[in-house]
Amino acid sequence: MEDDFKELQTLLRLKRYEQPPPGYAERFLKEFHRRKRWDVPQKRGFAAISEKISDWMGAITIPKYAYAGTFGIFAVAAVAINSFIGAPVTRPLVASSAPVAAVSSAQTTSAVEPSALALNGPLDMSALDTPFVNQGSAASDIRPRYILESRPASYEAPFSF
Amino acid sequence: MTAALSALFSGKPSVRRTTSKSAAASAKVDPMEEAVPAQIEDSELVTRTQAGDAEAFDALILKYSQRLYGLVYHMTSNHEDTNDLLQDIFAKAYRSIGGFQGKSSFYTWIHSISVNMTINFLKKRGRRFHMSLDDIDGGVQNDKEFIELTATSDPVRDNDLLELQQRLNEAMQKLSHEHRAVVTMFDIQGMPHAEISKILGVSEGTVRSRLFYAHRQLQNYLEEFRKR
Repeated sequence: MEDDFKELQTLLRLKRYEQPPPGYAERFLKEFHRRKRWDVPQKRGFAAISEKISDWMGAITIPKYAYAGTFGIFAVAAVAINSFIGAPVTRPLVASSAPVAAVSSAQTTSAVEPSALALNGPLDMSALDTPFVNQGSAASDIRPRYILESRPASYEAPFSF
Repeated sequence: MTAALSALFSGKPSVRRTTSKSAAASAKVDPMEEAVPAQIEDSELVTRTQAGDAEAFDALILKYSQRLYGLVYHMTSNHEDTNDLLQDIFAKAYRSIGGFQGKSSFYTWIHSISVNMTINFLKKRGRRFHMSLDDIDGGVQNDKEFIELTATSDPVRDNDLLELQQRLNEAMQKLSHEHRAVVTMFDIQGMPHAEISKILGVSEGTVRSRLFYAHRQLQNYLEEFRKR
């Protein structure tokens, strides 16, 4: 398989002759000393600290599996936080399986008994403050009743156009 | 002192370009042969540098600057960027040599710094670069492989070879930074797979697979060029 690339590798080997001109090493050394003399007094304070930190960070070799582990921990934490915050707040609905007797107007008191607001029984609206359109007992039986904060939602629009 | 150190670590003298193609490759100059590090000398120089001997680090610079120049240049394809980057590489090596514990050779350590800093530089530079076009330096005329290449039954003239090299440079730039690094170290600088894996911090298998992929990419690009 390597024979297929023999000519290519020959061409690549010829690239080793792309060298700097003669005397480059000495000139490079002089430039290195010049930069060293200039850099030492210039790099102080934050620049020197920043350079040391970057050298230290470069010396740290972080294994690749550490990235996967960190991502996994982050994903689990994100799911846990989301499930904790996003849990719907369920308000208890007033519901009863036993038939509830209607409360007569004579017996109406200022406090509305919770049984009067049961979903499975006829709703005596006389005990309630909010108006309620009564369209007949049959219709009221099949109409859904939504109880919000112990008061049924009105079917009348709060405003009209 | 500098001249003495330079004479100590410099390799064979550069060969002047000859006009005759048929000149025998009597003095094959391989620029990479002169930079084979001596383990004992490097450790001694490192120890002296850590003790505060600045001239010992100068010796290391003279020893490795040319080789590292080749490594960085073949990844960046720009002389100005290469020179600046090489200064930064040796500056960082000088600052960090106090923490060098000798677990690897200085050769591997300095190459690792060079590759990492070059890749980081290339990622920041992005596509905003211009290649420094270079003719192939003197000495190639006496290279055995060059002579074989130009003497094949399908003759490739000097101009075609130069253009092919330029296309190869363009193709190298199309590779990812990591793939270009392995091609530079293996094919151009002649490093073994084991050494490259230590420098890059990857397995030998990864080095081989990257090389195969890079070779295939370069081959495909050059095939498209030849079909034109």
